[in-house]
Amino acid sequence: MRARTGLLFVPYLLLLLAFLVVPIAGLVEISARNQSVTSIGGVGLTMANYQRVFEGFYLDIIFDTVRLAAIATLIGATLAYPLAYVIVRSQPLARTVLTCLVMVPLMTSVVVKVFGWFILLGRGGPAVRMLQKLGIEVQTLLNTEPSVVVGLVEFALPFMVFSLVPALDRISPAVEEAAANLGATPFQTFRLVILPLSASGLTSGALLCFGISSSAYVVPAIMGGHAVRMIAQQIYDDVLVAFDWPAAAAFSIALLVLLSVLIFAALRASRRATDV
Amino acid sequence: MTRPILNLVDVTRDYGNATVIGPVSFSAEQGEFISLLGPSGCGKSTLLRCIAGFEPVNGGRIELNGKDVSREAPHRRRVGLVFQSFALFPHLTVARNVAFGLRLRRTGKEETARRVGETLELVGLSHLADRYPAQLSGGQQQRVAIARALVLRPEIMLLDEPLSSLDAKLRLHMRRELRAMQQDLNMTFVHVTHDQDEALAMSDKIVVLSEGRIEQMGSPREIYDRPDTRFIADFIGSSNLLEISEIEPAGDGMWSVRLNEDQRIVIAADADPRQSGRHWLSIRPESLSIGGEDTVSGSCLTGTAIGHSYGGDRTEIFVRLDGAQSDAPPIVAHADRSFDGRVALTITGPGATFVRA
Repeated sequence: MRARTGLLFVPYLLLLLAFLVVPIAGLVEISARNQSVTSIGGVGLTMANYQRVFEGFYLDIIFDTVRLAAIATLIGATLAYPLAYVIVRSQPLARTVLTCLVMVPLMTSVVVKVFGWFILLGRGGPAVRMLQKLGIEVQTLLNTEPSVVVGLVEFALPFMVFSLVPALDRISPAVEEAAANLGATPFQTFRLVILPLSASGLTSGALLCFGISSSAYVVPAIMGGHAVRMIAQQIYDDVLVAFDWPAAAAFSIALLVLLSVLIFAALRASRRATDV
Repeated sequence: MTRPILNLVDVTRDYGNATVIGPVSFSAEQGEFISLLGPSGCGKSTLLRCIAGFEPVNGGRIELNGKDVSREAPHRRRVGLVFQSFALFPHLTVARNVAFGLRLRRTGKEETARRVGETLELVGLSHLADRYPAQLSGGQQQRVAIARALVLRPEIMLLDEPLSSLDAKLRLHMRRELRAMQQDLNMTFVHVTHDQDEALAMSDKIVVLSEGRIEQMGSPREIYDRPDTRFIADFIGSSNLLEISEIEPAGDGMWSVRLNEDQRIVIAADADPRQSGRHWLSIRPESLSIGGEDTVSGSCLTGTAIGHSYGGDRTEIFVRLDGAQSDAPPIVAHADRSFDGRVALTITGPGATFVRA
């Protein structure tokens, strides 16, 4: 890259420095202090906050977060492939309509969407009444892990679809037909041709989905109630309920490191898979 | 007669109200090289896709080795297909592209390796087995596409304009090579092309399609020497097409043809052209011998040379026939030198036939 082209990157670097690097440095600083009633940012110097991250309570939250985000990502990918495939193989008009349909949820606030689920799945809602008519005694479908996964999947699905569309667009229909001609069933064509050829889109979509899901706050807080606790909820509670900023900062840094490691690993794995 | 390996019976294909094919019927014997030839949009590629199973047929049936496969899914039909775009799997090496079908058939490791090796040798690509398609030239990619289909020993091979994306020199070379390969393997090839030279040079049988229907079917020689219609005469090679105003028997298989007040000529024909509605005369440029006005004889066309075009091994002379309508295209004749002024045209070769409109 020529030096002058590199100049184009400078404004972004400045933004990054002012609004990401500096705050994170602040976060690191706070995370190494003791909680104090006199100073909200804490006092002294300690590693105790990081030790607590590896204690049972926090470790369980991390584990649950990773597990729920992974499940949501997996379900999201499973739902997104057929959607993205239909979009890619549609005529231009249908393609536009379908793309808009997938995009609409992105333009709706997550709070609005979550309250939609709240009415649909909650106490006295249509889903509950239907189950009761079928003789299944439930009061609410909310406040469970599955309800949180539903919310996470709905939130993350468009990102998965829009990551897969350009990857699938690059696969010529003739290549799929060639696989069928050589004896591949539609499922074999997917597994042996479409999946490997769209691996890059799947990786970026999965990273987006996982990143969005594992840092979600509104969805687990409202749809999970007391049954589910994810990292963002705990950080929120530490900041605004317990006024323990150092603990919240340490947990935030832990989440950041965890996501960075996972993203790095996923990108390396996908590069090895597609770099031929 | 042996049972044909491929048999199409009244196959039709519609898109909504528009019929794009048919009804079309033809068959291929074991070891035959058949070309489906026609201008773009004539339905030849659609027909090939019907045989491979990628397009459903709306009527009629397609029989493969005596079995009706019209309703069978593409992956169940045992037909090899070479795509115009080659459609190689970009994420697999040459060897693994070729092994793809064997892998789906759960062929053993050793047999797979042996057959892939043999097939790559056949197409002369053994040394490139570990390359990826993006690292190969167009000609090499095409050989991989052929090998990938051949390795499964299909009952027939379908080739969709396989040579059209190659450069001119390579195309001529691959023509000979494909034909030799097909003859060595004694395999049935069905080949789609819009290139009439290619069809003439490679085929045992040519099926000429126009607007979804078979216009004429026969050996290359039959198609070229005995075109049925003006379309065939004009599409296969080039031809001078002249409307006949009167035909009279001249005895001995000869027919006296009057084109207009000034032009009368004698042409040989096996059957009475009047009965088959053949009111046009097709004359190949190479079958017209041109001479000066002093060579006018009983059976010749007369006119004025109005120009010529030098073509290296021959010169094309453009002649306006006496009595021809002013907007009629000039007659083209081949000669070894240019001509000016009054000329006489005599038919010397076999290239004068009666055709339908």
